[in-house]
Amino acid sequence: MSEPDIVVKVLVKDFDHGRIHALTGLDMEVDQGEFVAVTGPSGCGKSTLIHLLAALDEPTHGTIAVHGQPLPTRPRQLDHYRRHAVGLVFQLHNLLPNLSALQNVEIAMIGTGMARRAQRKRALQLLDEVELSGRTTSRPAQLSGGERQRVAIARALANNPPLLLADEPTGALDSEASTGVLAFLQSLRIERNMTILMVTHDPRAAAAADRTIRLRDGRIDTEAVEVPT
Amino acid sequence: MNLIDLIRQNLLARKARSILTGLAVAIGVLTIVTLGVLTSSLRNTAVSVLRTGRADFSVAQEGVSDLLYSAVDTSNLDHVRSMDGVESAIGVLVAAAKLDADHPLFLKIGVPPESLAEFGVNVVDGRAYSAHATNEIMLGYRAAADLGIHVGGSITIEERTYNVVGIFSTGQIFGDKASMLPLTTLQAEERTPSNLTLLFVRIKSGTDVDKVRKQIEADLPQLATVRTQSDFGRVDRNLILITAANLGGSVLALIIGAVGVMNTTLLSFFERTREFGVLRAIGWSRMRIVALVIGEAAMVCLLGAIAGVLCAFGAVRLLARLPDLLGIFDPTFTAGVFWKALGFALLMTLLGAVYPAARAARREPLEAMRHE
Repeated sequence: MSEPDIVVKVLVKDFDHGRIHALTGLDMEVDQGEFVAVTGPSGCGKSTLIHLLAALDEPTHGTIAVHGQPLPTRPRQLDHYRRHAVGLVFQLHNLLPNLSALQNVEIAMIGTGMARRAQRKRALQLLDEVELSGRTTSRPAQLSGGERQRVAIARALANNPPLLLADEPTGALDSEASTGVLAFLQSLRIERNMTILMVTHDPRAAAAADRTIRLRDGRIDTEAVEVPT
Repeated sequence: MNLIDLIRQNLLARKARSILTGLAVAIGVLTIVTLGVLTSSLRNTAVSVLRTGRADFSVAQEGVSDLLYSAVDTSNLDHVRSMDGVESAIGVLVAAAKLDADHPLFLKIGVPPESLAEFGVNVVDGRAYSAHATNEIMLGYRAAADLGIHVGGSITIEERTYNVVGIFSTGQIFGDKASMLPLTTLQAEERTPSNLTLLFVRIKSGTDVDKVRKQIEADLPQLATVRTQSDFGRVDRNLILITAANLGGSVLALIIGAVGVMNTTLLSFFERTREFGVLRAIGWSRMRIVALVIGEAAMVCLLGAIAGVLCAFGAVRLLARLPDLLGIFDPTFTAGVFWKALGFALLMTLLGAVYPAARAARREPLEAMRHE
């Protein structure tokens, strides 16, 4: 049996000089190519977990290993990890307002050494995959919520990361747009064998995952495996 | 898309702010270049006057506020002529007169006719004046053209009318926009029969010029010898003051420009904190964020510098038309002017953008993304 893609052991994260306990000894494993939903009430540590896995923050205690390696701590390795090892999708898309959809995808490839023409080809291909080939020149303000989130997913995939971390990707979308985004995430798992970890409040979104991990008070409450319908 | 494309895109997205910042830089560059060209051109003119006739150096009264106020006794000329190593020396008297509103500073130079050739004067039309003629004058060819006067005509300067007997050329603007008349005539008019303004000295071949200069200054301590631009301040305090004003103005312009750039860049930093956080979260390094912020400031500064240099061309041309500067200001644009403008723009970029860039890069991605 292959090694899990994500291994989290006794993960603790405190804030405000130890007064706030976001994660209180979380243990978790996610296999390669698995689509896992993380659910739970507000403040249970869902987003903190995503941030720690994305190396945007450091744990207070505990270890995280992704793709068999502990998370890097040196700045250059951190930049490389964030750029190549994980793709990040936020609830509020976080697209740059002055750039077109195409440029918002290309921006993730600046400094990777990829030629401009290759960058453009890759960005166009990704926008085509998220069915936005007709909106490449549109700015975020000219796109619907669902379209923006799909651009954000295309940006997250720009450097072909094996792991996608999504923090409430459907949280600001209507049900039709949510269905589209979730369908695309499922296709990523199936077609690219990507590991996907998605934080969500929405039971319908969680149902799209292979497995749901429920957090309560900073640790796993119950664990259930749900087969997508 | 590369970093340059992104920089251009970001500047275009904030057109008004980019233009206003560029304008602040342009005004700074305009000030610095214009003052620089003005000062160096005035200095060049001054030095070319002092090197007239291919003199090795000139001699004037030390420490006067303006070269025109220099007073050298004719006995000093005789002393210099008698010194070892001196091949020849001539003395001239320079006086300023007002012709009209367009020519408030018209120079009359008193030179003995036998010294004209040695003084570097080439009579291009007519003849030289007679040694003691009281109503004969020669005009520099630029002055003649400007005034529309030919040989055989006349000119009235401060109620004295002279017959124009010749047109001359000296090879430098200061002389060619002036007039010349017999030394004794000008001395009489100015009621300074034994005074000269300047001595022009030529040294015998193989003689150490500096040694002769030192000897003159030792023998005649009230006089100073001038050979280079830097010596000029010893006989004309005005140029020192202008140079100091230039330096002061340049520093002030630099500070104002840098504050303008810093203000804009900091404002942009606060507005775009979230954006920098997102870029860091998707793998941009701190150095790339610094390069983005500094690159945006540098591009604005560079464009501002280009605009500033172009405006400076216009400003200098306008200055050259000012009556007070006619005849003494021959604008000279050198490559140094452009390097100075470029250096100024770079300095403003560094002073104005490094701090905001460092702040932008130092922020942790999560903290930046939470910024409202």
